[in-house]
Amino acid sequence: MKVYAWVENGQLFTTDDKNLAPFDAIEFEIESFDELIWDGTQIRLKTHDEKLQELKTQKLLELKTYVASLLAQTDYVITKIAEAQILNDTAEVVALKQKYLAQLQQRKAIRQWNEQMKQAIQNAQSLNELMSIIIEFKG
Amino acid sequence: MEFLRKTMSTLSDTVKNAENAYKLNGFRASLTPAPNVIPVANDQSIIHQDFLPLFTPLSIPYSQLYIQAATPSSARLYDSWYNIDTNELFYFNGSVWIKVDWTKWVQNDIWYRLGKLRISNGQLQISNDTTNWYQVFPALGRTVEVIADDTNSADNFKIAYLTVGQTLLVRGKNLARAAAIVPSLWVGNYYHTYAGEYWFGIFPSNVAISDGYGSWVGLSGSSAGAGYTSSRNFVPIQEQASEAHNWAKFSIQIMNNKMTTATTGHGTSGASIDSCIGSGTFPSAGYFLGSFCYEGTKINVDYLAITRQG
Repeated sequence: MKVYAWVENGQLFTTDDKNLAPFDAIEFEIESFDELIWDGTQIRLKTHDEKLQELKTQKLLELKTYVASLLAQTDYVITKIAEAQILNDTAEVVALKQKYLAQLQQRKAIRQWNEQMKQAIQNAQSLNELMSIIIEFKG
Repeated sequence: MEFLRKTMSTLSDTVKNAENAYKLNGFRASLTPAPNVIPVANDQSIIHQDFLPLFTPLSIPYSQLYIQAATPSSARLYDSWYNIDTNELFYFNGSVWIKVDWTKWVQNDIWYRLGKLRISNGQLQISNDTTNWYQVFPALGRTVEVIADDTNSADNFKIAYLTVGQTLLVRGKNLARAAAIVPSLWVGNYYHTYAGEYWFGIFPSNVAISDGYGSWVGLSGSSAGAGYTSSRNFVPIQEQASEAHNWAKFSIQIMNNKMTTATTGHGTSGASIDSCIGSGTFPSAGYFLGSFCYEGTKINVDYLAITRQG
């Protein structure tokens, strides 16, 4: 699509409606608004590395949010154990750890999976490789 | 003989009175509107509504707005037609087009008083920065649906001006064709079937920006979550559901050169609720609500209504 891009107050604006663009807007032929960047001196197409880095940041944020929502489901276990520890009730701590063994093991598995996913995202070399990473815990 | 003369005189007066009942200064009286016709009440003392001036466009419940030079050929009851050649607004009463004076209620607008809405050469024009002026089109109806083709750039100019209280209805379209500038407040709700677990949003005035951000808190079953997004090229509205089943109630505020949103709607999937806020720059030359998107890709909304509140 044909778009018109300009910078105002240090911010990039892009539109496909010429009537909305100032007379000195720069014309580009692109697939998506996301392809342009203002680097402080010029409006240009993003490089492959810039696109890759942007998507990595987005994927890592997505992962962080997802993991937090998974762990939140068993946070009550941690709260109970922490309370027993604060009260120096050692027997209760042992009993709770035994009672919630499955939940504690699942939390450990989630954290390990999180680290693996982080590595996979950070090591991705192409956009296709990065987009093929599905953030879904099946443990 | 005297009796006959008196009778003839009375008869003559009766005929004159009867003539006067039908004509005044040569104008005909009638129950139904037409040019140069004096209105007469019907047997229930009601004057036909087409005789009455519309002081507000809210008198009509729903109207499709045609913006064109030619008379619309397939108009339905209470549709509106803005003639772009003559700058006249009409509504269809079921058989004929009735002209309406739109110039009064626009002067009652806060934007008019702020010098951001004006009537120039017979046209209604709006500007956010008082430098770039765009023609917009008044419409009748509490709910207005603009007849335009989003895929035809020749229709880009078809942006309706809504007074406070009027609602824009968007059906299976991408563009929210309602004039909007600083300051304005809007509330709306929508349903659409575009599936995706990330952000539904809006390009303000159909311009991609670079500082859009959004934040959400949600509950899925008994599990709570939260998250955010930043440096987006749109203003986030709702972190939505991965299902083809999305809905929300939302508000849009355009103030301080920012477009901000506050929303509650369907999130993630199933019985999930997300409450969200969003923000992003409203372009200085922006003049209407904008175009809807999912993660920066333009999409159509199935059914959306948004009302100008102030």
